[in-house]
Amino acid sequence: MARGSQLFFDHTGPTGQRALAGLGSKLQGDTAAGISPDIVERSQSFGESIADHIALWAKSDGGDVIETMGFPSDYTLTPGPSHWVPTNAIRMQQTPLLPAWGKNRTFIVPDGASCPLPPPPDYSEDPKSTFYKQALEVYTTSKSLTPEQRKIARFWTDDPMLSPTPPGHWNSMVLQIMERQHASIETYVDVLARLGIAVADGFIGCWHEKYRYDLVRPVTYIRRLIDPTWESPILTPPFPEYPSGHSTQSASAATVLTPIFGENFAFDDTTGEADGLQPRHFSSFWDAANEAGISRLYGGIHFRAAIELGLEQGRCIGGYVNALKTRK
Amino acid sequence: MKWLFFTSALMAGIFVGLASAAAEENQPITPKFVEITDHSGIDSHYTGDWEYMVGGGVATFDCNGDGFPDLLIAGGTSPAKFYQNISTKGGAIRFEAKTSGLELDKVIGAYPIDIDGDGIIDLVLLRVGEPVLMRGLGGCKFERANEIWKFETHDAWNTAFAATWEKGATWPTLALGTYINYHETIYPWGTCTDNYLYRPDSTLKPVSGFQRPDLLNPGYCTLSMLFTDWKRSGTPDLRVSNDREYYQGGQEQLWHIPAGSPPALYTEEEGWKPLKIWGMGIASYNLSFDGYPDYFLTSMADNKLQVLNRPSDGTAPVPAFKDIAYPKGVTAHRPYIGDEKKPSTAWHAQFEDVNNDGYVDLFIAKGNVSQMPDFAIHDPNNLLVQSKDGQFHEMGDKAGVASVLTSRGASLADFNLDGKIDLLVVNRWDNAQIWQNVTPDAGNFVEIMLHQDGPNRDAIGAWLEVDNGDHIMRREITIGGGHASGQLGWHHFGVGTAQSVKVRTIWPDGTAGEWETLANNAFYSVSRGQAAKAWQRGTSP
Repeated sequence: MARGSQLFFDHTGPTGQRALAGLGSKLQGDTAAGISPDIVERSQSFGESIADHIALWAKSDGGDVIETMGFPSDYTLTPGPSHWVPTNAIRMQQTPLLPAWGKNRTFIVPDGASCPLPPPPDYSEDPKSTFYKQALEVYTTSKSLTPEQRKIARFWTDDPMLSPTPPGHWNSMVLQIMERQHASIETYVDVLARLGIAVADGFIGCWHEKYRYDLVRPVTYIRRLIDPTWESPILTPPFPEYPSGHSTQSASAATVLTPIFGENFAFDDTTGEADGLQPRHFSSFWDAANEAGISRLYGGIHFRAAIELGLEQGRCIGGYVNALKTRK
Repeated sequence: MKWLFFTSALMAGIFVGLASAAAEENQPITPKFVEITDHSGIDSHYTGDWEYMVGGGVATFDCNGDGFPDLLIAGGTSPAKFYQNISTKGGAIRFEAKTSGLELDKVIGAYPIDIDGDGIIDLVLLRVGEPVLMRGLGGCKFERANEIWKFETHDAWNTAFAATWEKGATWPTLALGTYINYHETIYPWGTCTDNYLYRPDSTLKPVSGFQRPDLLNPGYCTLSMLFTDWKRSGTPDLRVSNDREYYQGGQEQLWHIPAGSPPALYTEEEGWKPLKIWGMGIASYNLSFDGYPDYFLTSMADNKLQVLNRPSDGTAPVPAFKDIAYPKGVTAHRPYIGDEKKPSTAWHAQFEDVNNDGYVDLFIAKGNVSQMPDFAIHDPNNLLVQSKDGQFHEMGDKAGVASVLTSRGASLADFNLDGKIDLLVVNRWDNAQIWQNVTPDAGNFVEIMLHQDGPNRDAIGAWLEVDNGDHIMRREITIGGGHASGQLGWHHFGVGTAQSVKVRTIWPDGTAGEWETLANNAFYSVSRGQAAKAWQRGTSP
């Protein structure tokens, strides 16, 4: 654990390095108590070799090196009104986040293209078109958000670098559940491995489609055609719109967790408490995944098609993960 | 056809010529600095490990009344060093290390302020552990004053400071910002400690100390604070810049500090727009000449230049700011020299006019937190020079100040009183560096020191206005901001080619002084209710 943490978080800052060192010492002290030093040494060496092996494998997955915070300086935007353009004035974010992420090696799904999606509704600026109507839905919804809808939008924002992130949110949910259940170590390992694969492959599949279609964000379209002063209720993420990443990975997670915990497994999620967000109750994992999806429409950052088809893509990816055999 | 072609070519040539002339007209004077560290007498390293990854400040003040700015440089685990300015006016910049009583260890930053209103500058030392108030005794000697001024302290990582004189108060109100719980070794994230507000104890007759502090809760790991009258109401509020790396549920903050009432955070219902950055420093200046301060906030990879969104219908402004860093050219998000494309880490920021053209420029100290591989290691300091059209242009390399050491705090001040702003930068694990401004074609200047009788002798909260015939420059007089670095003394204005300027002071209580015409290239002492006096060397300003 200590070696793996050092290897996977080797780019962390001085506080992270200090924490890793402290954690390593504590783990060593706790686990070595009462065991003869030669056994400790051999066990530690074995554990470290496993960590090294995994880290070496991870180095070749295509996502090992992230430069300039994931915003490539040499990316060329696709011309045309239907395509993504920068949505904020942050200089680093004038190119989109991680355009090659969809090419990364997956864990279980054959590759990023294995759960393809149909194209989004045809781009159009005609008020009678499906595309325009979906944009208008985002706009009118944002103008009449109920307090509950606003809460939902904020609960699931999960902005990178400002929150646990969407995968972190789902990990947090199942950790809460397993802690409440006093789950066995085998269950912890199985659930975290499946969930980790589901959200990792979910994002690779989603990113593959995002950069295949490279669709414009609602804020760009709405300001251009409906209301030049409009602002999305939550921050618009700096990458193409279709499909919704939170929808894909949430559906992938729900697809994996439902067979383990049950179809109608109800739970409370306190993930956002430290950020001042009230806990939310869900009647099932799909209840949570659907809410995560629709939160993006309430937040004004996705059209409905990206949410509904994102959820579909997540089901497909989760299905691959469910075929994984982890127990005898 | 040939005639048409010739005419078109001629017109095109004229337009190109006009555009080129316009571009030339807009090109600011290139400032020139010479590094003089080796001959300056400065030899001060900011040392220490994790607890000293932030801080590294410098206080700039005149403690012997000769008009020349003296320095206290934070040393981290090494003792802070006091340097007396022994420069000659217009000559080489020289400092001499002297024993002052300020040589404490664990100092990360310092701010000068006359707390007890005796006309002698005191200092606030930000430290890891206990913050210390140092009372000025005169002649650049200081003594600890926590006990005599009833300054109740807490064990904390003290990282930010600001001060104001509330309406009717004879002593200042001090805001003290703190960072992470530095005792937490395994998981310090989410352990931001409270900030404190120290108000004068009015039960003491006369006031001679502070009440027990109010908590500014929640604290979100603060690295810079500034009392500033952002809406020009006459009552400054407290801006707080926080490091998002460590807070949970945090954001930048703006506190109401109403005289006689408890502090209260501005809310979204009042118009406050949440912002989350790795907030490390605040610089302010009225860049747009509209009378309202604009704010530059330093961060990692993404610095902000905020202007107030003022309602067009004339109603009172709400605290909603627009970020114009990108269009103004001050994002300073990655190194501009060398091969590194990784994002920058910005700390101290300060607006001063380094070429005296009448348009303030922006200096930003840069430096990796500590070998963070995703951020630039050789991260040059920025000198963004403003042109007449309000755009900023990177000239750190041309000016000779693009140091790639690991910088933190800084001071832009006229160390040799030649009318040009010089520069000192504090570096982590390295010697502080000092540059003399030798810009040959710099414009004219005036420098002004404010005085008023009674408390708040340095007129903190005043606005100084200088009209050079082209535009009116306005500077809010504050204590706070920057990164762990404060200064008190001359207020410098570049005035371009103007031979004389009109100057007016709006004093902290809102009383506007008369406009006075002052000759350029001189130093003035402005006392409330009196005509400005030209300062002569050898007299106390």
